[in-house]
Amino acid sequence: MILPPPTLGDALAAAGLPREAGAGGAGAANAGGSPWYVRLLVGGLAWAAALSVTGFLAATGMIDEDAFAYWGTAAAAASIVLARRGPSDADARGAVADFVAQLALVLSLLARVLLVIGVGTWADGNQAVVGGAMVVLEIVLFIAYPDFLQRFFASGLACCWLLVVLGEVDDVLFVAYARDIVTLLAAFGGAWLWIDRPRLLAGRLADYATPAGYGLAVFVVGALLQETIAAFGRFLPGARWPATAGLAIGVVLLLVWVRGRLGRPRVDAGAGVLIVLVAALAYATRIEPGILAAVGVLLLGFLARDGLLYGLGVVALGATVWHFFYGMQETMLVKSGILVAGGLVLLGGRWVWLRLAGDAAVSDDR
Amino acid sequence: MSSPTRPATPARLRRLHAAGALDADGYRRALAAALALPPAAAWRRFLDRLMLAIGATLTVTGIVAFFAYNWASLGRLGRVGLVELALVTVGGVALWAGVDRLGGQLAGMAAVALTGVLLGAIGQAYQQGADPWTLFAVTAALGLPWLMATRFAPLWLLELILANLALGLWWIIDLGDDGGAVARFLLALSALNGGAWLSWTQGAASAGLSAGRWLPRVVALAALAPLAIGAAAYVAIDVLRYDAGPDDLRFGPSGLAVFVVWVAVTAAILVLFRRRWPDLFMLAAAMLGICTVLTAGMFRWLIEWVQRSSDVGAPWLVMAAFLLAEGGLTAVWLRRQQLAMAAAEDDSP
Repeated sequence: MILPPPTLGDALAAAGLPREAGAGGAGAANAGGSPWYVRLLVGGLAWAAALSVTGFLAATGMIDEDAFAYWGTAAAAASIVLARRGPSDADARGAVADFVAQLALVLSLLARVLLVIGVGTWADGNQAVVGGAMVVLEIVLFIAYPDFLQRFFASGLACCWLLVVLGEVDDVLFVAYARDIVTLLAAFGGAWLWIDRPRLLAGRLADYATPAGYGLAVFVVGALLQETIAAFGRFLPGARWPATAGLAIGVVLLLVWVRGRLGRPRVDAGAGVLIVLVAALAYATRIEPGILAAVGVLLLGFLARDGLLYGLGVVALGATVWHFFYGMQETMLVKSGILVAGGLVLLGGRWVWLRLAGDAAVSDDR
Repeated sequence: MSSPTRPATPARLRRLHAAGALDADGYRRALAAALALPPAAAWRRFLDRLMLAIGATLTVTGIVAFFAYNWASLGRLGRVGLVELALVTVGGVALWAGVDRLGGQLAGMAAVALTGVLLGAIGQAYQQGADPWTLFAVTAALGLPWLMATRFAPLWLLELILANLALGLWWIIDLGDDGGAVARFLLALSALNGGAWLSWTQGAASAGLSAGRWLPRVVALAALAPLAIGAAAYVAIDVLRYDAGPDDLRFGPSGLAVFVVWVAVTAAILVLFRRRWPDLFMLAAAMLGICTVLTAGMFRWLIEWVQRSSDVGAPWLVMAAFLLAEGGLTAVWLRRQQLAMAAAEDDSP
């Protein structure tokens, strides 16, 4: 359902440039790295090789538990050095560079495991110390490790480690609200990265914006799958309703902003129906904020014309609706009634919105 | 020069900028144009469809959940009748929408799936003791008229999946602990999917089926995977095990047959898909099979080593070195083939 990006010629023409302005660099523009299935194959072999090295270290007991943190730091440094030797643009890599990039990636993941155990041993399991140290590591990797996948991992994991830090706080109510605030900050930060993407990609943050945008989106959706994460036992639950309310405000602000950018009145009858529907959705799903987060991801995916983000939104919506349905403490009969009622409200709201929007073109090509 | 017709992705624009084809200002403007906000009509269409999709999904799911809640209290006739009603409805939708249009084709595919559900419901209500494979085989057979009517590639794939399931369930009755039967099953599975691949590549276009290049690739993988798995298992279990007991699993002559067929098919792919029909995907699939067999063999050899000595560390290191060499060589070879194919494409008139 997303719009594909315009062709290169159309984009250049829209920017006031000759359609053939890119012809001089056509070779560069089309320069193929390896196709994804070759990357998958050599990446899988690199992972197997790196894990075999890990098996060797574990089997021989060469690393003492007290030295895990040192080895973790060394592994992180080595992974950064290895990664900086190859091209940072994954699309420009050949299969050999892909292989080396995957080795470096495994090394960085191994560094994380070693540091968690090592710092945990030193700090006697203090979650604030472990989480804080890992946040620092993720920030270092995010900045110094020039790789899309690594920055995606680092941005999402840094937020996860912040939640781990909260695990050391005794005040459960404080943690519940703080957790929702962390998630909301990540959601609004991620939304900004996607909304302001054209400007960010042209500036100094070009290498960081997109992977961080994906990382924060995955974190928000994952963190809001409440019970699933609570099942790991390391995170206390959030308060939920503040996250739902904040996300509802965010979705409404996004819709109003889009209307303004399209030259439409920011608030009119059509917008009012959308706001009422978002508010109704927020009220009905106040214990499952992930549903509104998924709707927000869908909107951002459409806005940014990004198929991957849009796909994440579709998967997240399916998962959170299923989780919502599964988690309701009601009989199957009541659950089915709630689903049908929710569906009919949405379909009815759509019917009213189409009439108030007053634009028959909407349904022309349905 | 095909470049201007390619999608203006940020990565492509950036490479143009890095190559000097776009200056900083041009790059910024081109990015803004490529990532421009979708127009108002597109937004309205998107929101309309989003509400329709979510609303319809919630309503249908609620209705299904309602019947699931009451399923146990429905009689035999009620259950079968309910599925029949759904089948007639989607069949009617397919005919109403037109079997040559996407909506009708999707409804036709749903009708095939519901045929299977109906057969299952009848089998549950009036148990005859039939083997499960017959359910999938009969569903596939009853789906053929829909396939011929809709000429819908995903339905062709569904029919192939049903045939695979029927074959698997039919063979599993006979498998037991007999390695030879497993090997023959893998051969049969590969033959089924290999035949499907051949029929697709030779006759799909003339039959009005089209699905780009991914469907035949998926089917080719489904044909190659049983051979590679069978060959790897034969090497690891029959060839490199030195002290097998009389009751241990063996693939025997059938395993050898799988291995020989795998070698022949892999060699054919490496010869034919390098120059005659250049396709890097098929070469990568063949390399995946080679790596699987070699790695399984090395793994088995290392297990034998561990069993004969107390050294637990060195085998891991040997395995790591082997995988590094295997991965590196595979990467280098595939890269060379990719560049050679690209060069040949550029040279072609």
